[in-house]
Amino acid sequence: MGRYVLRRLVESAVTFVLATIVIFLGVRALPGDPVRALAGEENDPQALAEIRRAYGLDESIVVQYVRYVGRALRGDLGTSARTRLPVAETIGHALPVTLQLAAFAMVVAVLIGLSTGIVASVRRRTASEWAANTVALLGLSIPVFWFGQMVILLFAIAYPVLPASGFVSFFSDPVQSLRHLLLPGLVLGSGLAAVIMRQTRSAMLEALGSDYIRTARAKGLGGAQVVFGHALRNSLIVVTTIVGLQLGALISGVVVTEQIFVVPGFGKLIVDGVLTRDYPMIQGLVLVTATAYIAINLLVDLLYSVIDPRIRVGGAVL
Amino acid sequence: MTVLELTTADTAAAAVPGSRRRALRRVLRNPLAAVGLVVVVVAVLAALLADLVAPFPYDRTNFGAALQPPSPAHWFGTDELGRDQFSRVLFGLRASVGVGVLSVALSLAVGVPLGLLSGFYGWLDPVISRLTDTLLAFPFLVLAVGLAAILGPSLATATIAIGVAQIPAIIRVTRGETLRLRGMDYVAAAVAGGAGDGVLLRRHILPNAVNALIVQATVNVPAAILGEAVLSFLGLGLRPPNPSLGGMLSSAESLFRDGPWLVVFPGVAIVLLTLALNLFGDGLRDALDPREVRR
Amino acid sequence: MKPGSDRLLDVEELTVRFGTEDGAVLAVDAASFALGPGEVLALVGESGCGKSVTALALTGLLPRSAAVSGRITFAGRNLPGLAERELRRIRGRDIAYVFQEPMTSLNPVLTVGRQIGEVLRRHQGMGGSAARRRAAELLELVGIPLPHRRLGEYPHQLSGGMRQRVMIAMAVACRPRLLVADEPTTALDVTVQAGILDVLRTLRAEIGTAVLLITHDLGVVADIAERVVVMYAGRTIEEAHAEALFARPSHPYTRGLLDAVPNPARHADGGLREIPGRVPVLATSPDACTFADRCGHADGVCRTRRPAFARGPAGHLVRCWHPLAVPVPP
Repeated sequence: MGRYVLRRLVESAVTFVLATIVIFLGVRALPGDPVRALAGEENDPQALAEIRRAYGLDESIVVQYVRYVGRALRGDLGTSARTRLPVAETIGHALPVTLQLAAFAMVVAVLIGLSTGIVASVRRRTASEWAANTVALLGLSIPVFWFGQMVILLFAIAYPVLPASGFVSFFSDPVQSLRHLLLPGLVLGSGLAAVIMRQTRSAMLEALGSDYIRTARAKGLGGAQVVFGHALRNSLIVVTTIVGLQLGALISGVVVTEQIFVVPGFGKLIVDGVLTRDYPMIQGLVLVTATAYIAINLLVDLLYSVIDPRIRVGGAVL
Repeated sequence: MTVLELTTADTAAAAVPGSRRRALRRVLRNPLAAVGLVVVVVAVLAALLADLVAPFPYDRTNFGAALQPPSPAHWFGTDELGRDQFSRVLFGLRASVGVGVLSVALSLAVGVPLGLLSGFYGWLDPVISRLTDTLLAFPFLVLAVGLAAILGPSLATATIAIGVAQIPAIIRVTRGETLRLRGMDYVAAAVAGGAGDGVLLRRHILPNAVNALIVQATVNVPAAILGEAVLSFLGLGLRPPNPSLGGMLSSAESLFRDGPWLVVFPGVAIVLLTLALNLFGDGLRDALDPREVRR
Repeated sequence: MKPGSDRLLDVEELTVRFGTEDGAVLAVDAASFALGPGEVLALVGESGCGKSVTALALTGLLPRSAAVSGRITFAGRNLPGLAERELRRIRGRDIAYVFQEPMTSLNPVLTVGRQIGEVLRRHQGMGGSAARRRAAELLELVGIPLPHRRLGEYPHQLSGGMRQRVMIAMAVACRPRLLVADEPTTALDVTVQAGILDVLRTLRAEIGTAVLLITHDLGVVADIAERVVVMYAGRTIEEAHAEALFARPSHPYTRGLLDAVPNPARHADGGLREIPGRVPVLATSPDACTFADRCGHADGVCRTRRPAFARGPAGHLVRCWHPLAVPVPP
């Protein structure tokens, strides 16, 4: 166990360093003079020279990289070319918005995905399995942004019952917050729900067909004990990992969802950053995303080793 | 490591040589998969033959007939410039299918060799695994955004971004299969018979890993098509006036109230195409996976 | 076993069909046998002969694709006629199972204590701590040292033999009247096998449970069984007391099975003999002897008429047109 954790920590650190190199080189690969790119709309030669010095662009590339990482680690992600505000501060404001949206979507997805996945595996060859499979297939086939548009068309324009845009923090007004989160959360969570449903279903089917389920039935246990106490417990190990791995997809979904529902979060910053060619902002956003993602993957792996006794106690099964 | 186990467990298909044609027959006996295949074939033909099939050129404007609802003359209606939406959807399909196929081809071209090497040569494994992890540290859309920033938004950018984003999955599947197959008796027999590494990989391992790769591809193609739609929707894919389904939906956003059909038809086209691909893919997966058959 | 009130289990004309993708499969074809209280009966045959299916069919543990007909009378009740609720009360309490693969038959993510305790909570209404105490006693009973420590461990931390002992502890937790042991030693090393058989023997003496032993291993049969029923292609083809069966096998198939067992004392002439051919997979019950195609004694009758299960020359019940009368040379 200890060695496993250590190995994953080292691996994650290596991945982080590689990711920062990629991001750093990515900015160098921008067409034209990086100074021009970093300056955005700025044209004044004196300002350009200042940027060149500020970013240490007159130094060797290795020195530049080390400085870049050093600044990033101190929380200095540069200044937005568009707003002239510190990138870190701007991201700091947007992040809580996105986290609330993502958390809500996650809850929706897990609730829908787990329950329909269990139903589909237990009630085989029934209308409920068929319905659950169909919904999951649609969830995988419908583009998030179009689903969003349809939802807005239906619930905000044809039958205006819910707000189609904006954001209210859960901590200032929970009711209004949930009203605003409902549509985007549903849209963002739909794809994830479909993935969770399918994974739950296949893991449950595998578990339900296994020898230990036969043993559990041979012991005289009731249906619920067999399904929840034995089969689901095994399946959750797989499902947890999948959910963790899907967080990347969730980040992609956030970008689109925030765009459609005009939520002032992280994803909106990314799109705005690209559309206005705000390179320092993009660089910062990509770095934060990659770091978060590496950390999440690490956490999922560690969580996995906690919930699976085969890894937790006594051994290197993997 | 855990990820690898899951990818292979989910998609592992034991390759029984010569069983692939039988698998295809089994797919076609599954009505949903057969319907999926028919829809895919029709969509691909429509995309390829868009020049011949489409009633209007995709960029023919007609301000006299702007924002028309669907009618016998314009099946899917017209947009604010009077362009025929049916024709534009057909051309949009061309972009979707093209990006879907090319990006998956790109991911296979890069991912398969890396996966084979990673699974075959233990000393390369940690190196390639770290590279895979690094690539995975950038969610698909963030990667695409970064590439679009560097390369400028275009269909090629979208293709590269989607292809690159799918490389890790291909590496992992290939690596898993290579590890599995390398332990098989017939590979050991080939080694004992003096077969070199190249022969082993080309003749004994790769052909048997194909099933698993097909299964992975059935997931990747529809994902790539959705990816293209998203990128075009965000303005990072095909640039107007060239029609892409995502781009059409993006420009329809401001016309929600005046022309809801502008939002409906391109979306339905994407959904039908990806749904059909997923149905066919599911059928293919069941047919190639002997564990499913036994159930 | 003749009719009477001393029967614990009476299986009559048990037939099991499976609907599969490649058509129907007849897994058990009108099998009949009976078992008295405290008796050890071995159900013997090659894999695919229907013996495990028979075992699972007793308490309705087969998948839904199985169609079961016939009578299974256990302690005066017809089991196939019972509702699932009733069967659940019988499983694990009156009829308990030990399965072949102790690795996969135990749930990998639950502790040993939890898995044993589950039976006690379910059938004896015990609370957590009582179940735990009893589970430790049971582990001690099946010969597991340091039982209290083992309770908190997971199956993967135990050896194969230990796991099988845990399976047995779980099975005897409620002192069942019938213990169905489906190939309990097959997956284990030979040295471990003897220990497991010892445990089964001791437990049987201690709690007086009857044992239905499913096996293909005649060594195990000789070691522990009192009576033997031989199955072939879904049919019961010979039934006799263990010593009688080994001494004077009446069915050519039984004889073939015995000849296939390595026995240096016997085969001075030709060593080990195999039965040529394979067990057929049947869709329907043919009007013929199912062994005819592999049998050296088969003639026209064997191929056109179904043999009855009747007394043969050696006094065994045997399903053969030409039962053997010659004893196995010593």
